[in-house]
Amino acid sequence: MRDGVDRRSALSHMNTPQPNDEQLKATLKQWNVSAPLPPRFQEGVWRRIEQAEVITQRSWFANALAMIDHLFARPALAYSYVMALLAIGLAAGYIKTQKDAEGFRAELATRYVQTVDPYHKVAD
Amino acid sequence: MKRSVIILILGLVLAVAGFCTFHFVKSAQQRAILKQESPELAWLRDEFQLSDADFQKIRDLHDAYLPQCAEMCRRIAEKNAEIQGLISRTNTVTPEIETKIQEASLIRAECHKNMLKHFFAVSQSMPKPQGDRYLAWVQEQTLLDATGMMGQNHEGQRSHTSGNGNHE
Repeated sequence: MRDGVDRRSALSHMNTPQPNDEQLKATLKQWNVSAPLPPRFQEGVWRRIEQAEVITQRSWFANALAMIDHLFARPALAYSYVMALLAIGLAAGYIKTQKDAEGFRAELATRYVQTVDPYHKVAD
Repeated sequence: MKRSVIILILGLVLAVAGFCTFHFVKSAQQRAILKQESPELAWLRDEFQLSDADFQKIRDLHDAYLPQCAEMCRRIAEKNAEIQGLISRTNTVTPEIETKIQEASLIRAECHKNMLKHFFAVSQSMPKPQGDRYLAWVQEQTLLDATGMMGQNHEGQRSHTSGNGNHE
């Protein structure tokens, strides 16, 4: 708590004008930079900025792969993923088989009726 | 990255393989039924849980009934063609058309009588619960459907045959 109070007072001290500021200002005015900028300096700076932006903006696909890579680094997750997909495949196979079996039974029932009822045959 | 891609693909391959294997194994019975000489009789046996002896009796009844059924088909088609021919030549109900329609009705009545005899014979060749269920179902699909008394269509045929697996 005391440390926080000290810091706040130091910051407020920095923002209020002090008597020594005039001396500091005079010293800073004496500092002159005479070295010339390299040729096309600004252009180079903007080019480096653009390149840095390209590097940081990966495609969503690359991001997704990176995330998957991170997840599969854990063997338990990788194993769970494989088992989950296998279970989904088996469940889908079961559902498909059930639907096919119902359709198959209905079709054979219709065929039986067509063998015993002449009017079904005539209608078809 | 390579390992992750391999795991991704492995999961998908296993899912597809699991689906195909399960479907292939479970549909083996259907393929076996289709290979039989009379798949519809195989369905009947499975649906009504018939013993070998009962099934053989019903198969014999069915084989004996088929020629009658074919003959009725021929007569019905012939009569329909006659009626159609008469209708195409006129735009009124002539006495000839009336006569043909009455003849067609007589054929229909004879056909229904023969069908009912066959259904009774088949149902009596099964144990009583299955026989009763067979009779109710087949009448719904044929006689009652033809006369429109119950107002049902062929979609209703599943309602009585869904008892597979619930037999005594």
